[in-house]
Amino acid sequence: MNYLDVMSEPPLVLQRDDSVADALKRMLDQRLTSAPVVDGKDRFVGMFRVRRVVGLALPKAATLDKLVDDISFLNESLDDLKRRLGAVAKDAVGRHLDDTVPVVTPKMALAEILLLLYRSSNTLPVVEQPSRKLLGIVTSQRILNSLLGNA
Amino acid sequence: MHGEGGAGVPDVVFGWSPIWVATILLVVTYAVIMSERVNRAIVALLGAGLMIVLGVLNQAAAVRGVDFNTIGLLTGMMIIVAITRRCGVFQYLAIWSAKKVKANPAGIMFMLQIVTAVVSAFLDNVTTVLLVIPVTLVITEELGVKPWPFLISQIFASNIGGTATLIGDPPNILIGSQVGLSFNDFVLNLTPVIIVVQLATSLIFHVLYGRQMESTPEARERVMRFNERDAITDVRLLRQSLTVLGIVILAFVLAHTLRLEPGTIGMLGAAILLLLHCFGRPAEQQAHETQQIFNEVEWITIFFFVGLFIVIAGVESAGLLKLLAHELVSATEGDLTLTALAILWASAVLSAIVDNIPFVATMIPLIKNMAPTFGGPEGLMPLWWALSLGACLGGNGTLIGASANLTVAGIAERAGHPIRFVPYMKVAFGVMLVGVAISTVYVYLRYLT
Repeated sequence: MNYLDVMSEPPLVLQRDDSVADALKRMLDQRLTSAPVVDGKDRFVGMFRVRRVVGLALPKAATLDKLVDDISFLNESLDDLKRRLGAVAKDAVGRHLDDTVPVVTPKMALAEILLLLYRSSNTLPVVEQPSRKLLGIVTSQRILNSLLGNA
Repeated sequence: MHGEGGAGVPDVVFGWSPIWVATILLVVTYAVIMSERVNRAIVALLGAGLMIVLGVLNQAAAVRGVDFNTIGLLTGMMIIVAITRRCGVFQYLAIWSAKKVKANPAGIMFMLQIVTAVVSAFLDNVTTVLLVIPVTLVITEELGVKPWPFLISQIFASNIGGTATLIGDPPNILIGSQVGLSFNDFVLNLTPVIIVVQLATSLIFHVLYGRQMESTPEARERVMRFNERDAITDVRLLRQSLTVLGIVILAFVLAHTLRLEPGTIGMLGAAILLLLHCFGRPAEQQAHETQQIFNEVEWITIFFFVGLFIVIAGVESAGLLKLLAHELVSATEGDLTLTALAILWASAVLSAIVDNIPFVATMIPLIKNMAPTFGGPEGLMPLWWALSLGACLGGNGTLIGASANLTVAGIAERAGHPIRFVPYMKVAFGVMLVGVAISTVYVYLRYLT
């Protein structure tokens, strides 16, 4: 078993210049929590995550790790959250993507791929090196289905 | 290999005189610290080890060189802060002060400077900015104003406020401990001028930035909706922390009567607060909590001090500082006014460029060696205040002048508002010089006329 056995075609690939609003709509329509992002030459540049968009509805300083322990003092209304999301709706997804995500490469053993999924997130990109061409994605669900013989 | 003098100083080290070996080690240690290529704690510990291995000091003399009063005070206060910060009292203060001025941007900028300065007078500067800057960024974001003026003015406030007391800034802890100056000595001699310097600095920042600040009524209303009471996350911990902090500060004030050194007060306060925080919890949880709190102690700073004390003990016992003191006295022709002002301005300019902790650690024994020229230890008092004011205020001059500056720059960068070296210096160096000029007038009028 290698990466080809567990790799899937990504249901959605975003372009770096796509707007946040457009990307989010497509992801919500397809019930996706993350999608790979590529540049004009189809090179992988990062993952765009719904979780990141949730953070964009909060004050930026509140989302910095370990700096603000508690924001219950904010007294935010629904309109406040909408206003912040509205302010970034036209931004390109390239401004808000996760470019530190670990990538799966064709040379990786299956156990190594499992470890990456365990340590980072449920969906990881499979990227050819050194061209950084996006080959597909691996997900925890697909791997577990393969392991259980349900694929 | 070599003979051993009475103070643990050999006559010869590998055929060289100890003064040369000590000088070379001091210069190399300083140079590597300044290069920032190797962590400063590692450099200081290496320098200390080499002082012993090369025979400038023996281990007993090296251990005697470590000022455990300073180490105890620093560590104790770090532990107290690590526990206190968890209750949210500092966020409470920042929000409360913002609402007191009806969320007016210029008013908030002024109030946050005052909060930062007052908190910095009692807590470590880095801790203070770590607590206040994130809330500042939340407030400026809600107000829709640029955070830069708030950040730069709070950097200044943390360094200025820290100068006001014995425990506010590491250079003061060093001076207080090694010279035997009390908490009250610092309050009586430095706090008055620090209040003037802080108000003058706030006025400059108001003229430069505050008066042009504008915010919409909706944005101000959003800040007014903040509920500061919700920032308090643990009322029991709040009561415990503020009680212990209050007793510790009272003990500093009464230290002379109580015959207690600051190091004892800090460590005992930390132990009592740890006890209150952990009492009644299962053993495993106590171990976990204590470990977590100890993890928040800045061990890099603590080990940096330990290494540095040994390096300085080496150059001191080798006679280098006595020689330098003699040269400095000769250069100023034994004139106290000239010496005090030279120390004030040289400390300010150098502290803007290099770390002020090793600088002050070196200057203390150097100044002590001047005692015979100026009529004994009492005659040195103006020089200690000049050193403290110069070293602490000078740290504002550049982005690398003090640890708090770099801490704010780091948070600002992560929040998408980077502070760059040159733009910061263009504003900060001049504002810093105003504070040093005010200090010059103060030192001259109070101690030298």
